[in-house]
Amino acid sequence: MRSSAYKQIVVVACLALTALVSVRARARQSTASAAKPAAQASQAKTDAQPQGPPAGEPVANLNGPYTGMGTVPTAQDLGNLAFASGFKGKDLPEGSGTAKLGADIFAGRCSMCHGANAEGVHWAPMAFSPLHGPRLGGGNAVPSFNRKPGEVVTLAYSAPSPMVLFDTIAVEMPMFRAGTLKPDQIYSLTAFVLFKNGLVKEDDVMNRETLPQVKMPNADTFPKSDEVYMDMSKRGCYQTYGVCQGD
Amino acid sequence: MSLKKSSRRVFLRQGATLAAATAAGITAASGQGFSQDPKLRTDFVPEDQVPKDHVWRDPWTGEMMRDEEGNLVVDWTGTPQWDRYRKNAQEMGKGYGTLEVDSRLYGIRSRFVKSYRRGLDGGSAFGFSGTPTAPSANKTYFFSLLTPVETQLGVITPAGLHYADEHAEVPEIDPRAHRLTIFGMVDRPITLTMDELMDMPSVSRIHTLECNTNGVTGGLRNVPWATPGHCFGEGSCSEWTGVLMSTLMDAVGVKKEAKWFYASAGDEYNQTWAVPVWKAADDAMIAYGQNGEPLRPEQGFPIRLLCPGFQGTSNIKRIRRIKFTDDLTLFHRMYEEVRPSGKVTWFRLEMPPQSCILKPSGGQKLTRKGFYEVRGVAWSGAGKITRVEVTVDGGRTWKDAVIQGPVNPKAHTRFVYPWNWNGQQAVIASRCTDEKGSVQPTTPEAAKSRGMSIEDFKTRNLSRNNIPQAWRIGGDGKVTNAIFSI
Repeated sequence: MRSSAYKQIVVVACLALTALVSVRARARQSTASAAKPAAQASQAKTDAQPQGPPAGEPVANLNGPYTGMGTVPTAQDLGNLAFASGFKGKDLPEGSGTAKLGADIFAGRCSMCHGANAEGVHWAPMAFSPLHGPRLGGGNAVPSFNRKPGEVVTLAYSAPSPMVLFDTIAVEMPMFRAGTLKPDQIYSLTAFVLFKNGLVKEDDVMNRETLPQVKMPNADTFPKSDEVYMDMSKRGCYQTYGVCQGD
Repeated sequence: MSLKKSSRRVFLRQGATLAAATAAGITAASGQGFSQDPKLRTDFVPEDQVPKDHVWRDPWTGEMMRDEEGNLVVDWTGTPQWDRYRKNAQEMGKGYGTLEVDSRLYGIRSRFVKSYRRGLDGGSAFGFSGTPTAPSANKTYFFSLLTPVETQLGVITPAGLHYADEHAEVPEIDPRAHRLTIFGMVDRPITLTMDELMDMPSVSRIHTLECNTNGVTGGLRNVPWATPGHCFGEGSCSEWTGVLMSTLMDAVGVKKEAKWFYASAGDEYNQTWAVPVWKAADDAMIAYGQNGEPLRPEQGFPIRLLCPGFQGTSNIKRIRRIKFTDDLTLFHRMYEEVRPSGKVTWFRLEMPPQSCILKPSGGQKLTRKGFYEVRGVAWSGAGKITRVEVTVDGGRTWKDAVIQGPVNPKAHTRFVYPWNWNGQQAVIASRCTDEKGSVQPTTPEAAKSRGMSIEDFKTRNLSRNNIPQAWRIGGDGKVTNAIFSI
């Protein structure tokens, strides 16, 4: 019984996926001619790019001997990874959202794994449900080596920057449909998770200007600069035991 | 060239005919050699008699597969012809005709070899992101499929026993539809097909791949019945074939200011890591081959990132996108680590030197006094293993073991140590040194370097805990886990 029910779930999920893919393929066909070269579009904000061939067209010439290879990436090729950025948020997309708007999206797309109130979902023994997700809301403690009972660390409380939430939601969520959220949805869900941890207000508008400004409670426990990772020999990793004890 | 090849084929076919004819007791009818008529062979089945549901199908077209000569590709297992063959072979005597499975197309192990992966994850389970939905008889939950390293001979882990740590269902990705896109701070953003990628200059290298928690203390490594597979089951070593990231960097022209690249999977979870660009320029690669064949789905088919020596989760399976940037971020499951000081480190990257005696080891038994070859493997994420020492007296004295080459950097390295067991209780262990001069610490040394009391050190889950793995040999020859005794 159980296994056949599970099979049905899988079949339904497969059908949904197939439908999704074909819809996307059609959308791609209809917009292909009008689409701006995605690689240029995503970088236009930061670097002035030389005019290249449009998206989907062969790359004129790679450096070195590699002729006749590759095409210019389309928007689908870049996916939401185009928006993923570091703590300054330099590649954040246009768009905006609030926790209030995020609540509805969360209910529909996230709550089955993360709980209606972002409290997380753990499987019941022998439930044979594929759904499980960590707690996202109600964080109240910074990570510490000796945590006291009742202290809750969520991703929002273990992240040095709100961009960690944004990048994770944009690229890796929701599971089984990863990377399908649109910028407004990603901003709203990021706002919702921040709100559930008391880090922003319900109506605070998150966009490419405001989001990187959100101060995370745990930011100061991380190394101040990423320079330490540029040279392993400077990290003290090779001293004596080969286990880095510094930053 | 082609003439030579075809005449060789004719010769081989004649040879096969001869063998078949002789076996069947048939004398060749023709005076001028052997007939090329396949109908005179006892093994030949005309196409109209081949059971069509036993013919391999092309994965894309569904058509029956044929070889270059036009012959059907058939797995004869379970066919009347296979049963007839077995019956005939059984006439030869005991031990003949025992093969139930036609293993000629893709071989199988002896039925006397039964090494298997322990644990629950991989395949169709969901690891610590979700519920293990595939049935399991394991009482202790563990989030990986663990390699039985104690059964491994040599340094290469068979692909079928390679550890697997999966964060969602393993997808079957169509390599013809998969792409690798490289963009961000590059001169020429590019999307490559798998065929194009495989036309690029390639390398093939032997490297260890291990999870951040390989050798973690506090869990399975602490139980008295632990085997090397329980202690180091999240580490495996393979020959990886692929394109160096440095080659791809040259091709797309990575800008000087780029410090990191985000490597992102294309599956239902899109696992993503930020990796320093110096790793790409050094020895990271996009691998499509493992131990001489294409990657298996659970190892990232069709392509994966390989960052030799770095923790496993950065070795993105099913890699789809690479973005070069000057901006560090964290994605989910990029491990930050809290230290007793209260400070958090973003990540540690290179794995420390580790070693383990595989024979004799936990779960085994010495059956007699006398000579044994103590053998094991050592590896380090920082480079080559330069020295392995073995103790057979609980750490009081250490003697050099013999390192067997070729020694590959960031790869399992085999060591052996000849030993005569006197039948008394003994605690044995190994410790290694890598080319950076790092050496495995004893328990008190490791606790001190982490700023912890020894008691605290013994009870916590500590990843990258590279104290020597000690085994206790009882007076009865039984070998048990002696973790923390050295």
